Amino acid sequence: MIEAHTAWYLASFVLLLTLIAGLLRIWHGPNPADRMLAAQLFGTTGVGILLTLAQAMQMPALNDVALVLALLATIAMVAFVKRMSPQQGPTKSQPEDQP
Amino acid sequence: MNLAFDIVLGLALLLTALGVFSSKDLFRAVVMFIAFGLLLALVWVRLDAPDLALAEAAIGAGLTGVLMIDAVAHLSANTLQNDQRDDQYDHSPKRPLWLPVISCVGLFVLLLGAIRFRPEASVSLPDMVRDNIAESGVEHPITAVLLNFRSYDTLLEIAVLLVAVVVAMALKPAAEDRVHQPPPAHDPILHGLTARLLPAMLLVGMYVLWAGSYMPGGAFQGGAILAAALVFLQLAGFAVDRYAASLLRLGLALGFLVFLTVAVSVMIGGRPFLTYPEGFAGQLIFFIEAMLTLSIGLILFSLFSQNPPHSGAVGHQGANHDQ
Amino acid sequence: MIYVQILLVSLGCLFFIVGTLGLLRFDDAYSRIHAITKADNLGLGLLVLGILPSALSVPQGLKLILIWVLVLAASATASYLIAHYIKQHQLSKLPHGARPDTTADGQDAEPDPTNERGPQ
Repeated sequence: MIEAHTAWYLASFVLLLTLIAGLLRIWHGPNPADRMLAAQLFGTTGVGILLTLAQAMQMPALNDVALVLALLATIAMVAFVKRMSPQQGPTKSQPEDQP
Repeated sequence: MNLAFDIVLGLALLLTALGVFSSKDLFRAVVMFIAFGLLLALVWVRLDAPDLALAEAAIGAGLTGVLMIDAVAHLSANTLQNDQRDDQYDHSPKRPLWLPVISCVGLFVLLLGAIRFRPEASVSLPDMVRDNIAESGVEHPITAVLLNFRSYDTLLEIAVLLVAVVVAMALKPAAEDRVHQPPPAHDPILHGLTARLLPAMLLVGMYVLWAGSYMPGGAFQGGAILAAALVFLQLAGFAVDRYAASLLRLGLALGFLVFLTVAVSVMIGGRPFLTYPEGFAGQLIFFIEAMLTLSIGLILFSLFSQNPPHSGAVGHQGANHDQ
Repeated sequence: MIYVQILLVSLGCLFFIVGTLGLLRFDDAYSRIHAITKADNLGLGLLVLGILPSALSVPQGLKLILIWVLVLAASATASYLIAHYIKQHQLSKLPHGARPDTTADGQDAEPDPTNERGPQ
């Protein structure tokens, strides 16, 4: 039993490490879209970590947390695509002719 | 293994917090904050607080991110229109660094002392909850505390939320110069996802609300999911806030009103404020929670939809017309 | 059974690692989308398959599958949205690097630009 716990912890630990590596893309990502991509990956990895932790900690309630995260992880992406206008360089010259 | 996990998780949380504060690019800070929310949810999991993890996953990683992305979109759109600076995000700190450093170190030492020399608890609250949970009407101790033993706090919390959204609504006309907002482009794939995801969201929201009586879950978490569903609808191009504006406003206050009505009406029978009659506690709690879920969902959604008109969309649209 | 589980979970973790590597190492955003959506969702799928035998009950197992399906749908849509956004962005604005992204544009199967630009 202890063995199984350790194995699940190991899996979640590996996933956590990949998540931390993903932070680099958020930090460096040349444009906002790259950063959002990393955030998208974070959502899925978070789901994975929660599922493995649910096994490791014998806490089925964590599956619900994973479910909620799976449902909501995309909203940030949708908001980004729908609300954020590209804001680099040449955007500035164009909005002027609009009332 | 789990110790290593906890240490790395804690360090990662600090790292993202540092990233949020030290980032000069606002958008980078926002994405870092979304990551921070996710890691915080994991920290709550490791601290054996799945209820908080659930709330943090719904609010921190989901809704707050949306609110902040929206805020950055407004900010950048306004900066672009108002003044044409290149370095719109340059908030490099000019103030001396020693002040925050000293206060942080001081706070850290104080916290360390507080942890090291904490007084012995004279009453064991977990034991009290365990002894009285049979009378509370629910099986899940957190819900018992929130809706029965300490329901006063929850009542005030929903009042605070209500006040917050009322203030947001009051601020809206002050900032309003409603530019004609073009109808969002029809996006078949997003519509398809919305049509399929929305029932799932409502179902999961209700499930989380229902689960609250015997396992982690409850009104706040369910409300956050409901809010996310509404935000999704709004983003997909259905103007939820315009179709049912008056209904929406009624819904904002409903949770607080129902809670208060129940709290006061038990006094008719000679009971103290905010107590439940025996045998009805479970039903009343569930009824209150259902109304709270609705109101919390609408309140959180209103915080999103009650923002000043989005001038950035117009600029973007103009840019597209030009090509 | 336990060995199958170990194999599946390890494979899942491997796909997560590969996805993150792709996110970090690929040069353009389109390839990064490819890395995170394909590898990552396959990773989660294998992970879920590996966890399934340990599920406490049938509903719990169904919930796990539901989670995977939700992530699949949501992530596929998100990658379409972001790909479309990047495409739009790069057509109208300067490309973020010196690298021409025209090849990446064709290789990505997801964006369907047919009626997207019309209403705008």
